[in-house]
This record gives sequence, C-alpha cells and structure tokens, in this order.
Amino acid sequence: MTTPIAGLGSQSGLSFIDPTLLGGSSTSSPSVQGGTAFQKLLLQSLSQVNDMQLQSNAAVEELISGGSITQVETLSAVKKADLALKMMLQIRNQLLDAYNELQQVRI
Amino acid sequence: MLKSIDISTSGLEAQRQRMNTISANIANLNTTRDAEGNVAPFQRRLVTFQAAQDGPSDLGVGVTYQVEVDAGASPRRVFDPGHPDADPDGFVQLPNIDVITEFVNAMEASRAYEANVAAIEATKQMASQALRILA
Amino acid sequence: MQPIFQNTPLPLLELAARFGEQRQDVLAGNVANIDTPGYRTRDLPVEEFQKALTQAMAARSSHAPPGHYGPSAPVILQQLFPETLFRANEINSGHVTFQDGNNRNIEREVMEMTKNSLMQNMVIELMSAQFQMLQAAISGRA
Repeated sequence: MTTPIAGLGSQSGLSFIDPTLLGGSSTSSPSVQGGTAFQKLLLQSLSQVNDMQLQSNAAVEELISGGSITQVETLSAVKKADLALKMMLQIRNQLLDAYNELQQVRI
Repeated sequence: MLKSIDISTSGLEAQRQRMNTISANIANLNTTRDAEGNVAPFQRRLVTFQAAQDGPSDLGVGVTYQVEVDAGASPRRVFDPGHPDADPDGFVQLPNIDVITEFVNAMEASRAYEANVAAIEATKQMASQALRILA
Repeated sequence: MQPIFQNTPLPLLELAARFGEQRQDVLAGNVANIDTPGYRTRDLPVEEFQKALTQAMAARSSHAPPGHYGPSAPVILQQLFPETLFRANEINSGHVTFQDGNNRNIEREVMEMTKNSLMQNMVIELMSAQFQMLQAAISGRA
C-alpha cells in the first residue's frame, strides 16, 4: 500500500538523501559521513514497513479469495502492518521536531 | 475456521437422519404390510456413520451416513389367530422393533445434535473474539 | 485521488463485502421458505466469485514491478465481476426433494448463513482497518 511514507521506501530513493552515501564510501564529504549509518537504518526501516504492508495485503487477499490462510494470521498481519506504520509516523514526527529545534539553535 | 462449521453441519445432518429413521421405526412398530399391500413385516432401518473422505490438507473430517435395512433383525412371531394377516398357524409376523432401544437411540441422537450445535456456537465465538486483534 | 484506494486491497474488499451482503439476503430467503411448497434453494455463485477475485489479483500483479502492489484498475474489475455474479440461481445441492417439491435442508441453510456472516464481519473489519491506516498516514498522527 503506497501511503506517503511507505511509498518513499519503495521508490528508487528519497529525494533529499543521496543514495550513493549509503555505502559509507571515503569519497563522501565529512559533514554527511556521520549521517550515513543512520540514513541506512532509516531507509531499511522504511522498506521493512513497506514489506509489512505488502504482506498484510497479500494475507487479506488470500483470505477473501478462499485461500488456506487462517483468520488469525490475516488479522495479526494487518495489525502488525498498522503498528509498524504508526511507529514510523512517530519516528518521522520526532525527526521533524528535532530538525525544527536545531533550526532554532542557529538564531 | 469456517471449515469447522461445515464439519459440524455434516454431524447435524447425520444425527437428524438418524432421528428420522428412529421415528420411522417407532411409527411402524406394528406394521404387518409393506407399501404394496403384501404381507411383509416392516424391516427396521438403521443409520451407519462413516468418517468423510480425507482431503490432502484436511485437519478435521466430517461424517457421512448410510441408511440401511437391519438385516439381522428377524420378525417376531406373536400368536393372534384373529389378526387378518395371521398365517395358517395363527401367528402374525410383527417387526422386530424394540421401543426402548429406539428411545435410547433417540436420546443419544438428540444429545449428539446438541453437541454439534454447541461446537458451531464455539466456532462463532472464536471468530468474533479473533476480530478483537484488530481493535 | 483514486490511486490512493486502488493501491490497497480496498477495491477487492468492497466487492467481497457487497457479495456477502447480497448473499445474506438470498440465504435468509431460503430459511424463510423452509416450508414453502415447490420452493427451490437458491444461492449466489460463490466459487465463481472467488475465482474472479483470484483473477483480479493476478491481473493486478501483472502490471506492477516485482515486490510492488499494483493498482486494481476499475476497468478490469468491471470486466471480471459482471452483474451475473451477484444474481441468485437455483443450486444443485444434491439434497432430497420432499413431497411438497421443496428441497429444503435447514442445517445447510443455517450453516451457510453463519459462515457468510462470519466472513462478512471479517471483511468489514479489514476494510475498517485499511481506512484507519490511510487516515493515520494522511493526518501524520498515529
């Protein structure tokens, strides 16, 4: 399900983070090198959230088309995807708040 | 989950059919003629149960039933010369149906029917409980 | 705006919910007519509907890159789910026809109604969960 957040992970890259920095190569400039591990973690988490959404969708469809999935498996897959998305949203909100705070510091 | 309702329903049908044969036996307790009017005492019917065929991924299987004529029950002979269907010796051939046995079977069928209904209720409960995962 | 919904299981869930609701009416009619002489048991075509669902899922994933969830195109859905799927037909259940011409089987009818309503509850809860997820993403508030 391509929600605004999950969709970011499934596309070729976030527009504001350069994906070439993910490898932590020595050619990257010092100011962004420290952030590479965190970016990697973030992108991984985003793609994990997306994967859980995909799994949840697959489980729902398996169930309604009479497949051999149990009811409980479907419901827990949906709930897990839901919680993962909400966790991601909170992380995003915290990051934005942190960024705004940092912006204030300069002034 | 929903398959278990199918299975319980096969049990319900089998028990109901059993009740039908028991009712037929009791109703024909003293029947001395068959449907065509020939002198042939009513043969007791009974129902045999068999587990349904196993599918490849079946965890539980339902039940199938067969209505059979009880070949082992030979008619009882009662001395009643005044009866229109008495044979030359004065004996009448009556069905070999014992009311007590039939009633006991009827009670058992009724309890089994209740048990299957309880199983369906339990399944329904489980299904609606499971929805609480989403809440 | 539509792709927001088409990229979720929602279109298929909506179809399943509609099918379930209409089927409940047909099955209730069967139970109500338990004693009607000459009444034949009717039902909606469940297996055909499930086949159509599977086909819709296959059509959708053939348009999407691997690992992605493609959109359910309304045109394809309209083709795969014609109105005939939602019309009740007499079913050949193989059950005994009684002397009044009615091929009743009360256990089967109650069972189908129970299964249908359990499935319907679940489909509706799943739809609600999908909507809630979309809402959480849109409002940015968990």
